Amino acid sequence: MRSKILYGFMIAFILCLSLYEAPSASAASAEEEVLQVENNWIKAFNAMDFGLMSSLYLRADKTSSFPPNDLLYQGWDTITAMLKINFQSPAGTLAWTLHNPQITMLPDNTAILTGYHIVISTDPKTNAQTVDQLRVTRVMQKIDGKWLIVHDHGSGLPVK
Amino acid sequence: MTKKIIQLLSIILAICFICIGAAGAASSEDEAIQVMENFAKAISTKNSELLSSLYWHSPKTSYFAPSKDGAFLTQGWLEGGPGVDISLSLHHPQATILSDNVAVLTGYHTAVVTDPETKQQSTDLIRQTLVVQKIGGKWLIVHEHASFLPTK
Repeated sequence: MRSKILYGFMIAFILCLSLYEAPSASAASAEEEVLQVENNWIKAFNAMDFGLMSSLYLRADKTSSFPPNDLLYQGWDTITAMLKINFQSPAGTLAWTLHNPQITMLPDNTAILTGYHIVISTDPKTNAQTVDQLRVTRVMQKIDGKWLIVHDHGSGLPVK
Repeated sequence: MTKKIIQLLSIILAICFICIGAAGAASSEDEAIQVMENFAKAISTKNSELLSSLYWHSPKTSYFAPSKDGAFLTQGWLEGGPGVDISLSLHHPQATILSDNVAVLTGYHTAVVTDPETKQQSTDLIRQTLVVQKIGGKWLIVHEHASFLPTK
């Protein structure tokens, strides 16, 4: 009888411990979700998937973007129209990779992702390749259960 | 007569409260933009105390500084100001309030750098993104991304 009570207490204790640990587990998955958005951004460019790319940005006027070497683009329509120009290259001519992504979780379901992009462009006629490096900041917000880009800033990092 | 005066006063008070509420909503953006204005002021006047007060002093704070040679991410608050004589003037500051506690600021700075020896001046245009978080009732910079905008 006594061992059954002890066994019951042990199970209750383990349950409490599991519940206590649960919030940190969900915090980790929020970071993974944010990282997934960035990985999808890269995937969209590599696969020339404009639908995927446009789905990553918040469809709102408040969404803004500083693309490398350009002025601010304001609003989802303007940003996606600007990005669409890059989707006219034949698939396989641009190869994007993400490096050193770092995520900072902020309050109210917001997050900052920083990282670097390396872009290898291949000329389809000559097969000559050029390399560009970019510094990237993305500000994301979780809206209706989905992390979306509300602002980004890209800038060149000269290749030495 | 007294009742009517009381009723009138109540209506005026109610209108005042509504106006205060609306003013408060607008001031949240103004407060956030003030951070960007103070940033330009602190750099231009070499006021390191003011500059320091604008950032969240935390290992979480990060920045991409403007650099023509390339600068990697700096992580964590670092005390100090610009080593060169630089004057910033802010253009088109814009605040996007994401929540009660987080906002994104964007803007442009015209930077006039004076060479300490030759006194020769050069001008650059800088694009700036600041992510600010309300901590202890004050908007503080948690992330900065600044980059040069080619003028040619």
